[in-house]
Amino acid sequence: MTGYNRALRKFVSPEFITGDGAREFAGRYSLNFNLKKVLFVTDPNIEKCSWLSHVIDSITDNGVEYEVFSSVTENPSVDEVMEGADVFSTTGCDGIIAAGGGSVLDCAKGIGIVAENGGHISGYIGLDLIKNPMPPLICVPSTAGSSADVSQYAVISDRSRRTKRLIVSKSLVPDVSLLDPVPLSTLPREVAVNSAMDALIHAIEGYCSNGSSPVTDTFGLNSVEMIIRNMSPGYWKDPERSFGIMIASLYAGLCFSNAGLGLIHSMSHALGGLTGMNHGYSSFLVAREVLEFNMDAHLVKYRTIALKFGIDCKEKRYENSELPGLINEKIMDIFGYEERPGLADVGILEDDVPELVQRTMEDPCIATNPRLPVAEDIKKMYLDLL
Amino acid sequence: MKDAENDPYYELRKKLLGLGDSSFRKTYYPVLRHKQMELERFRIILDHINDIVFLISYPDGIIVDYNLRAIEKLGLKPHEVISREISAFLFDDLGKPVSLKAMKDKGERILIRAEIACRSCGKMPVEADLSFTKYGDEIYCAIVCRDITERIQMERLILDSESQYRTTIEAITDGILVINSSGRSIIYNEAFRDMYIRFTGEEIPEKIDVSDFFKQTGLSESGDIHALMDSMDSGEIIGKVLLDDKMAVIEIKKIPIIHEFRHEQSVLIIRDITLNSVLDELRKDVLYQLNRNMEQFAILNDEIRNPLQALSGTVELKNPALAGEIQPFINEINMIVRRLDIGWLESEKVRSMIKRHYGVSVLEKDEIRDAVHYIREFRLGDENTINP
Ligand SMILES: [Fe+2]
Repeated sequence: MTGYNRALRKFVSPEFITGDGAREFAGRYSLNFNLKKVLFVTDPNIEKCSWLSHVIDSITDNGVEYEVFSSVTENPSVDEVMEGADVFSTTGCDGIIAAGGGSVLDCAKGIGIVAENGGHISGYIGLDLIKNPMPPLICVPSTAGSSADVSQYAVISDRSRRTKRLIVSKSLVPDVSLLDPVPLSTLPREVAVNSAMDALIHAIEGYCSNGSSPVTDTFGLNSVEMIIRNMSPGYWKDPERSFGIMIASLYAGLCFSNAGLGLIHSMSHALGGLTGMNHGYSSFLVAREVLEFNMDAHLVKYRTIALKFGIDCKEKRYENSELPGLINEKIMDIFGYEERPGLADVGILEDDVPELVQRTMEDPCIATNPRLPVAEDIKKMYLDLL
Repeated sequence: MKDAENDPYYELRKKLLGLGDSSFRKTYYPVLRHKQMELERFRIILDHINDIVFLISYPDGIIVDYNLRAIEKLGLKPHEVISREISAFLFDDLGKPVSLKAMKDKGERILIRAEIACRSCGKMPVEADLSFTKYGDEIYCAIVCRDITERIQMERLILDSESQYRTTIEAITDGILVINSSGRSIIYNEAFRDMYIRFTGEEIPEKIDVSDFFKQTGLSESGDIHALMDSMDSGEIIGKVLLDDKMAVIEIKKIPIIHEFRHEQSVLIIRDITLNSVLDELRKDVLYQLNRNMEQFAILNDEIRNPLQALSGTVELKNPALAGEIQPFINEINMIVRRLDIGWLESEKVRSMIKRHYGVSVLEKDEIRDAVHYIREFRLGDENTINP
């Protein structure tokens, strides 16, 4: 980089508390927001976790009533959002506490949108379509990866159409995020690893985005560095490492929420919609090909990332074309992935490619990819990935 | 970043980066401001309506809010109203302070006549609409009081007018009965009530079916009454009511009340004309007798005039001197007879009028006795003057 990017940029972040026991501030914030009754959005797995009782106790200790809505599944659907919004209004809630992974937080955002603005959630799919700010939203993320607790994004699935669609608005940035590493320790292995992958992709895409700024660069690069330093196949069982990944995910979230993402996410959303597979994992599957496509558009940044991975670009000058493969190898190594299956192995057929291409082209994340692809470029990538 | 012309994602990216027209951090201020303005606008409406509005906390009855009209009409300052108990200002129609608890026991929404303590006018009569509602954990009572001073004055005027009209109706000796389109009574007067009792022998019910009344009295046996009742026009008939050996003659006049081209009500004026009818018959008899006498008198005139002329001629021939002497007397007799002739001619007019008007008899000869019995029994006139 020869100088700072002086293009107009904005940075929006929620108020957040980090550290052990941060989740216990949920009740105090509810009171500070003068909430009488909150909708407690979570999922059936989280509901069984013991750490949740501290969140609930903090709510009741502060004299706030709550109504539980726990029928949220992975890749939350428009129907779940509408059901939650109905519970919100019929039980007289005036705020939301969301405790869970990205799916729970995204669903909570959808509920908030409908609760305040009415109508159907599908009417808000797109950019800047939220007229009235949603009720206060307090997040207790249970994974380190989605960064839905700090981002302006919500991903909502339409199962009948097998699509994943984005709602993007600065007003979707939650009011408070309580980043407590304790909930991470109860995660299943696959969820823990794949969400850390999501965080890493957020950091890389945000850092290399054509919408990045000196502020987001700092968060993005630091995030990459922290993930590399703290990531190990069993990180979430180690309080030090899990806290490191949590902060890295926070940095990644602050980076991508303000700088935008890129083609990896556009393709990952298309794949996730069609197959329902885990978002972090589908991002990993397409990352190498997208890095290859983007490499020349922002060589300095990609080489900086390679350097962070220990791919010594100064002593041993690898060809640019070699870097994506090397980065991919390093990622697999630190994440403990033994293989990177082709898309055909996860059920994608060649016949699905035109549909995937169209969905990728329509995904808004593509706008901040460092190199703007045309449909043919994307088609080639999908075919290569099969 | 490339400019908008070359970059298909320019606008999209602008929004993603939070630089779109409506991309800004979540803030409640604009929405709150908008809602505040809406509330302020509503407050203006509340302040300027003519009704007095109070918001009362329940059950303590403390005034927590009020509109501008409240302090204007009550002639009080804000601090004299706020945090005071509503019972200091609102009284029921017996003058006792209104108890919110008693009101709530009656229902969630009640309308009462009450009075409001008013500095300038003492007590202002109001119609108070009390509605209890829950807001959060609190129960409130919204009271909207409408000044009904004018309405009460109007009601009084209507009552006075009603009373005058009632008195007038009652003062009429004819029976008055107002019926609706299905023949049910709406109002009737005392004279009708007497008639009803007299003709049916029963106490008058609150609501009368006029066709039952006609049946009970035998009036419906005549087709005339049906024609009259079925008609949309005004009209009148004369009917007879037989009560054992007594007979009443009544005249029924119907005046329909038409509203917006619909026949909604009818006024029936029922007049007992038994006495008039009997008197008419008697008068007719007298006149008939007079007529006969006058005819006899005309014959008598001719019978006087002819011998008198013969007498005058005979005397003039036989004794002209005597004729000159008696001629003035003969002339005088002639004059008297001529005057009687003129009187006869004039009485001819009277006689034809009698024929015209008394040509149809209401009562048959044999009914007159029963009618007189009726009149005697019910003292409808001076009984001593009637002796058939
Ligand atoms: Fe993601």
